[in-house]
Amino acid sequence: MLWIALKMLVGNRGKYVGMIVGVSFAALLIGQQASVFFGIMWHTTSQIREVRDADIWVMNPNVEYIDDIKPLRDTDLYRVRGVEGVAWAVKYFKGGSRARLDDGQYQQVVLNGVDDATLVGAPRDMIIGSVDDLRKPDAIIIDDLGYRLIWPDGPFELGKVFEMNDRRAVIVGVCRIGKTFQAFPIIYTRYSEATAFVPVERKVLSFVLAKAQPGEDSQEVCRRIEQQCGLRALTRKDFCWQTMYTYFTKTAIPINFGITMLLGLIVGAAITAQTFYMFTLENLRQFGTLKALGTRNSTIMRMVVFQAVLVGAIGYALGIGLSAIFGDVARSTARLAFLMPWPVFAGTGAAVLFIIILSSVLSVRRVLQLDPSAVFQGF
Amino acid sequence: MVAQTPNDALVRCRNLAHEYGEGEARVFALRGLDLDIYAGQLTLLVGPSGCGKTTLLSIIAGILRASHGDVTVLDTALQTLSGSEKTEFRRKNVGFVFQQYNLLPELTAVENVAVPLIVAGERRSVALARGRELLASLNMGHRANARPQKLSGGEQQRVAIARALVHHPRLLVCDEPTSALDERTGHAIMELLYGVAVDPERAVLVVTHDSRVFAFGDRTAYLNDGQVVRVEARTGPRPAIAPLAKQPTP
Repeated sequence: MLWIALKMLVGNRGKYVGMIVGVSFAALLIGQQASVFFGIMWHTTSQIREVRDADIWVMNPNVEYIDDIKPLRDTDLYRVRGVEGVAWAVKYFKGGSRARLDDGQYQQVVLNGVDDATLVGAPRDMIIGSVDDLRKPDAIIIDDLGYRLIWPDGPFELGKVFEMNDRRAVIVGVCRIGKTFQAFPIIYTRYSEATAFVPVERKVLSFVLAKAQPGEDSQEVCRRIEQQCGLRALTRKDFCWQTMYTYFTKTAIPINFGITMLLGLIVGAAITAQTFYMFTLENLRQFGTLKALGTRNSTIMRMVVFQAVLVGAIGYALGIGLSAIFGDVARSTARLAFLMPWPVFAGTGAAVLFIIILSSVLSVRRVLQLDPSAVFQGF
Repeated sequence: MVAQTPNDALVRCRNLAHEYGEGEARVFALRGLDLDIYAGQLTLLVGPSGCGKTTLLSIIAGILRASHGDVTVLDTALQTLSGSEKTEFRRKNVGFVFQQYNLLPELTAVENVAVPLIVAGERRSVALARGRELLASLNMGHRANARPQKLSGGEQQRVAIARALVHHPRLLVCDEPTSALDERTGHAIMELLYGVAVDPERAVLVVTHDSRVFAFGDRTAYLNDGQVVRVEARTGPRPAIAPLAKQPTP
């Protein structure tokens, strides 16, 4: 009987396409918005993930996310180094500064100061220049997108100069890093240089980066640091989650994206359910005839559900596929945050399933209520 | 024709009554009706609009439950059957021909004919092969792959008759099978139905307004106000119509 259901479905091309468009639209909107949301969340952790040498971040107990800078005392570094299981620990500066360009314009930048001796926390993916050149006086490394923000045209050039806090900064390298939540240029320099690029403050140590000794569990070392130093210590992975959690709970980002996704779900469900219901109503004579000819209600129900599932599967595939294409195109041409992990596929699938169930229930109910004797009454 | 007793009847209706609606809006469609329908005959149900013809047809076909009374078809008391048992009964024993043909527009002629066999669980290839054979026997083989909208009214009704016969039902119920057709086509369709009816195992029940087809009735039951007011049996010879070639039983 399912082939009859299939023929009934594809035979009414207008409604068939309309239903698929409805589901595709919903899947596209939900998938695309969810991916942008995940992309933004992912971007918030970009600078944590860039620090690949250290697996433990130590911070002020009140810090909630990577851009929430509450300085530590310089002595905290030594206290962390004294905790059992810590292989090494270094200073890390993170803050904002203003770059004064040679044309007199200002540009806000994000400043990262890495350990002077070891350069732990420096970028690894260099496009031009070398990380070791950070040891030169006034040396900075800038990310490629930040470079293009300041100098949109021409090839990358080393030796370009600007000022921060009335101090000269010389570009010795251009690196590629993951996109960040803020669109400011990301500057890497030595810790001692970084503290000079910002106005003088009594406490400037943003984070202590540490590494657990081989064989030590990072979580356990974090617990010891917290216990002994009264500081907050998180593994890199936990700090990423903590940062995303803070953005999720303390900003309007999830609400904004949630509203758009909800609208996609409502509009998609309305289009699909209504079109599918109309499609079923138009086919009532056929369903009535099939019932009169001895088709069981369960078979009729299977036919309707099969039609709905088929529409849902095609619509889902098209919608999620278009989302992926959109993301691929947008990522290569713009700074768009876009990430499609499995929860996007699963969540969009669940939304489509909801639409299909809604459509099926309405239609199945109508068909099951149909009295086969109506076929003699010219309905 | 051999004289028949009620015990020979393929369909027996006794004191059959049916009403629609409730309270003030209640309408009595059938009022204590008695009727027997015999195999090997074409029985016509005639009468004015609203006299209960279609209600009676629906009850006999097992798609409507009578409010009161007994209806026995093929020795089965329909009023005792559950909904699913009636569905099963219809699938095995009843063929339907509708006034508006009720073909599935997305299916070809042969696919439409195959539907009752597929509903009964037959494999599609077998059902389509049987459908093709039956269409050929009705001189519709050349239109087997046409969709209903490409067929004339007479052709559509032939396809509908093929669909009604493909599973070899013992009872064929036809609702105004000629009313949407011109005289010549309607006559041809009635000839076809008559060819089916002469099968001694099968009864054909036709609801009609169309006086042009009265000559085909072996028995004609006249209904008025929900009751059979008169039953006339054929007095003259039956029309000289060749019986439909027997199809292999599924």
